[in-house]
Amino acid sequence: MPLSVDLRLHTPIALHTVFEIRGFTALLGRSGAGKTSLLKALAGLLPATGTPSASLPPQARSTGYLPQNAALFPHLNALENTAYALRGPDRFTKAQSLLDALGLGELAMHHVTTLSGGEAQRIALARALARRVELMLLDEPCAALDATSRDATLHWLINTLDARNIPALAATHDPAIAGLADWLVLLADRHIIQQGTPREVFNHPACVAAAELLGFENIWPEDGNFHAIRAADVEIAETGLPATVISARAHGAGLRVECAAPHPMIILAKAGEYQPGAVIHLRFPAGALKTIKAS
Amino acid sequence: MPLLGLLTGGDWSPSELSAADWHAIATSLLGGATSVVLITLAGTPLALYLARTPGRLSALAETLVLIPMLMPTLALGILLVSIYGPAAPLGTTFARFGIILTNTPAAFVLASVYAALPTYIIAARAAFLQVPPGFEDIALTLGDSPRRAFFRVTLPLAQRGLSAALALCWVRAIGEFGIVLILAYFPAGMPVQLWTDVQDLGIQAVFPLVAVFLAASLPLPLWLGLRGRRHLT
Repeated sequence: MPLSVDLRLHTPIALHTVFEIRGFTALLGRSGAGKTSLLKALAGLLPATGTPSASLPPQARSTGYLPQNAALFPHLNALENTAYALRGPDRFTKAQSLLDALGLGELAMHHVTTLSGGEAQRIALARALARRVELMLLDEPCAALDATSRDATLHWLINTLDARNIPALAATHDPAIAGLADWLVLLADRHIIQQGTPREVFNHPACVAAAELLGFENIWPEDGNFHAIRAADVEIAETGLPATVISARAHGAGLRVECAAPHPMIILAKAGEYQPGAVIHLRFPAGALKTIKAS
Repeated sequence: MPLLGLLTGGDWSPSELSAADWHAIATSLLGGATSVVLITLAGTPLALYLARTPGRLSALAETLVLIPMLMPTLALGILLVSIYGPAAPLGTTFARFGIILTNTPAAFVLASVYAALPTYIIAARAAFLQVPPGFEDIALTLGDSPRRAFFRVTLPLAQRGLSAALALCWVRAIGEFGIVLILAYFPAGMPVQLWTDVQDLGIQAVFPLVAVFLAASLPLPLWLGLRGRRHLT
């Protein structure tokens, strides 16, 4: 059951957003676009008008909120953090049961300063889940994590929420995280510019801003419209669009080649010699080149 | 080093404290404790307001708090007498309700509050600034009211800084001399009594009261400091 959001904020940033939350929903936007403000408004921590529950104070909402840095209370251990929202003499027993159910039981007595970033995020989710929540808000859930724990933590978060059938809205600036969501919402220019399944949105960016957010490195105007293609999808062939190499730098096992065709293009090429000034030919595989209608 | 002076100097033979000394001790302890309670009750919300609320009103409030702290205490005492004295408008207003604010226990408390309140507020404000406001937001999303979140999250996290603020407040309240000298010469607290004893008996004769003065003023800050260190480890 999708949850409809129609929320208007005035401070600290003016935003009007209309979108749906379906399952694990990613809110993709640049830094400073207002993602955190929107999440805080949904949590009741910033004033807003509209739906859902804009008039309710945060403590009266069934909304869980995970900030970017997990924000575990540093004067409490992991178990005490998890039990924070619970009441009654058996609250620590309940909290321990929850941690055990989530596979985090061993961390219960750990002081929060001894937890890794991924463990802290998991305990923070457990703390939020201890309360009955109908919507979970995650602010850049893996931004503070290293590459090795990032994917594992993210998948754990998604699976845990899926298993409990709790819809979630995760703010991110990372298209790779957005690709894992059930539903994708793009935020730019103070409103929602596109929403849909990741497959739909990645295959059909609605505008140049959407293509930029989705990580298309190459966007150029042509015939009154715009074209967009990822650097990794551009092929260097015997024939095709001629382009002059500007520079080439190592990029993992291959090369990142910048060229002019005549509009700037970035290509991720396999090993080879690409001297500045050399002319190469570019081919765009069918399906990889997206056409965006000029608005 | 100054504590060595207790062992090396002074005449300890008249080890008994005079009746006036005992009275001064009672005045200082009761008056100081009353002041600290009043300062904590009034100063903590104000310190939280100053820490959390940017803007001109907050800056003005901070300036008003700072002024007494920056003034020479004797000058401040004289100004307070001119406000709360028997002939002054505010003094006569209080007098109508039976509260005399010169040379009474109430005057002693008033002088101590003026001496220690700014120190407490500035230190407590710094303690609250150390607590990221995001923690209280999280507590709200976990079902706490703002008041409950303050007591469960902000207060424990600011505890170390607030302990230091309380320790400084106690030392300022119990050790104040200048303001008390002008506003509450009677009933004399320990500082004023020490001063009169020095004048009347000489410095060698006041060491027993000095020892009591130190014993009364040092343990609370030391205990709060050690407690803060324990919380760190």
